[in-house]
Amino acid sequence: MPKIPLVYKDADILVLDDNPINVELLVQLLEDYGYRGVRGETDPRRLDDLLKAGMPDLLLLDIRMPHINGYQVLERLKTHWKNLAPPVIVLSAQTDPDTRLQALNLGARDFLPKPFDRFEVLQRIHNTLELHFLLRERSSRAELLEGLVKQRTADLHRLSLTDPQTELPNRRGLLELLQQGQDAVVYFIVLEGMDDIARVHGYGVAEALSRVVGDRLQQLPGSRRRQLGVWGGNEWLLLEFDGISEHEIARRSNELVALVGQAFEVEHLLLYLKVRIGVSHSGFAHQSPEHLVRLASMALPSEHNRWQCYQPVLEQDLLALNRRRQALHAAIDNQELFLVYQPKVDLHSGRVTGAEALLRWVHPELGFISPVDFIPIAEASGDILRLGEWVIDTAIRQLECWLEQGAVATDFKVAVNVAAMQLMQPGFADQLITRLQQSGLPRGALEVEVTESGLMQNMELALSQLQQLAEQGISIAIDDFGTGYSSLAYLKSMPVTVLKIDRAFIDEMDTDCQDRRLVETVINMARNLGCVTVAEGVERVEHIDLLKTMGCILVQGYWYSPPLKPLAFIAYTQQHNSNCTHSTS
Amino acid sequence: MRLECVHSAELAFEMACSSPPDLILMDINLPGMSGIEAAGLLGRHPLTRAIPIVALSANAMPQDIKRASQAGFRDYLTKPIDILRLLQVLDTLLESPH
Repeated sequence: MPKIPLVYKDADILVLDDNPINVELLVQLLEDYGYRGVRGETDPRRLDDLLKAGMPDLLLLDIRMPHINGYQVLERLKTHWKNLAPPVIVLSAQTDPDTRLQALNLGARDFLPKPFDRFEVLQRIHNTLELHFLLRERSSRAELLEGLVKQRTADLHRLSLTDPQTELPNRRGLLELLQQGQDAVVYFIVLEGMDDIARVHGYGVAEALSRVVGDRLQQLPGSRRRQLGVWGGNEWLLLEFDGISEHEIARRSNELVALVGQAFEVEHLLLYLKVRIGVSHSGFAHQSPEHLVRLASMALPSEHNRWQCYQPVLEQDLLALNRRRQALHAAIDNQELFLVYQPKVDLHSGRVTGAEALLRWVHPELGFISPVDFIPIAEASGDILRLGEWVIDTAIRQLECWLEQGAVATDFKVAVNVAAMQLMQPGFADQLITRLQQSGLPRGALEVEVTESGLMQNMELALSQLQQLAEQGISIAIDDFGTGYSSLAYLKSMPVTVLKIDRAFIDEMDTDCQDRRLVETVINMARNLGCVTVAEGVERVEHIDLLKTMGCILVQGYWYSPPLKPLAFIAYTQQHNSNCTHSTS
Repeated sequence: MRLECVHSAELAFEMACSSPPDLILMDINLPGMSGIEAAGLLGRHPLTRAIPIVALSANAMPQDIKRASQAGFRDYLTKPIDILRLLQVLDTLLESPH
């Protein structure tokens, strides 16, 4: 006799037979062998209760029973208990194939023919239990795996809705929240200055700053349900739900502006950001959460540290802006642009010795559009590069023409304005030098005016381009000096030859002694650095007298002349310079 | 007849220098540079000094009119504008430049 193993001695085995002797016999047999969890039952009607109390690992089932027979029990297990049902071994005196087939068909695993053979009983029970526990282990492993997959899927879903740097909801997360929320207010927050901080201090600092900003904005007062999130880059959204009140929107927006306006401390640095906020809410007709966000972005004001709520009229403004943008794009080809030249007068000789070329645009339908309005449009669209090129080309050709006619002196200088974006084009200096070499202009006839902010965008690139230009005898003027960083460090490192003092300091220098002292200081400093000074916005004789005393070299402004078209410019210059000659001779 | 309209004294000065009109009608209260300042500058610029300037203004106090006259305005019309008087002034100034 082979030894029958006893591996599952703690298995819960239920014997169901209406004959108590059979039950007793089997229970005894199994317990004698070592099984410790055997129970017996003679009334099949109690089976459901028994299963409810505890699911056995094996059911030994008689077929012929009163009230409910074995087939019905099998049926019940299959339909009601399904995969929770225990495996069943049918105890049967009948061995006819029909009975067996029917029992198998209803889910029986095995048969124990009566009268019982001890070894066969034990072996078959062992086999069925082995299979049962094996299956159970497999299915619990599958369940575990399924659970892990579910967990991982949930994690991935959460990650797909989260901004990795700040761990706040990202664009998808925000849209999902907006989709679910009621009566939502959207604050579209643009943080300005982040890029500069990343450039100067590195991306690590910028990322740390993002987290600090997030923490601070989470501290907003008030009890409304709200969620902060990152829409993309330096654009953040604050969503508030369950109520729209204009009063509250104004208060919240001002709180946001104030919160961002305070310095941020990151890695022992004090960093400052500027903010612009556009607001929309679900009270406006909108088609989708995306549309609601777009309305808020449309409301973004152009000035820093301001907020504005969406109004339908903004869309018309935007359309008008768009129309201008398109019109500007075609302006060069349609010959709507022209240059005017503002005389620069040498205070010592009184003569016009140069000019600043300024761009003008007159559209056939929109009329005169100020550079203050169209230059930012061109900068935003990138058209500034084509405009800048056109300005340089036109100014060079104009000066060639004047020199050819003998209309200006051979040392006459024309200055052109160069936008930050032009200066950031790596080939800018090369192209300008080539263009100048193709022209017949004398060395030093062209001057380039750059703004301080233009230099700051990428100091290294700006420096290398300006040095290249300076080596070719092109003078470099800093425009609007005094209004930006006015850093002595860049004055030292840059090949700057001209400082233009902003009109803001000139205007009231005859009445405001602080402005007067500032102008005098800049002139003295420029002299010590070997730079030429140009005072802009000179409009009164008092300006001229003071600037002369201070030793300013050149002046430009309405006191002499506004910017003039080429013919008028030559008429003015010749008349003005001949008067000077008469008065000095 | 050519009629050009601009919305600031600065732009008027610039345009008048490059394409001088026969006459300038100008308000006194303007954004930025005032009409008084503009008249002063127009009067001393060689390309515009011969152009007669007429004030159209809501300021009707005698000292306003006196100030305008000193600044170089050739005539002064108060708002609401009397059209007949305006046409009369135009006729006079355009016929005899002096």
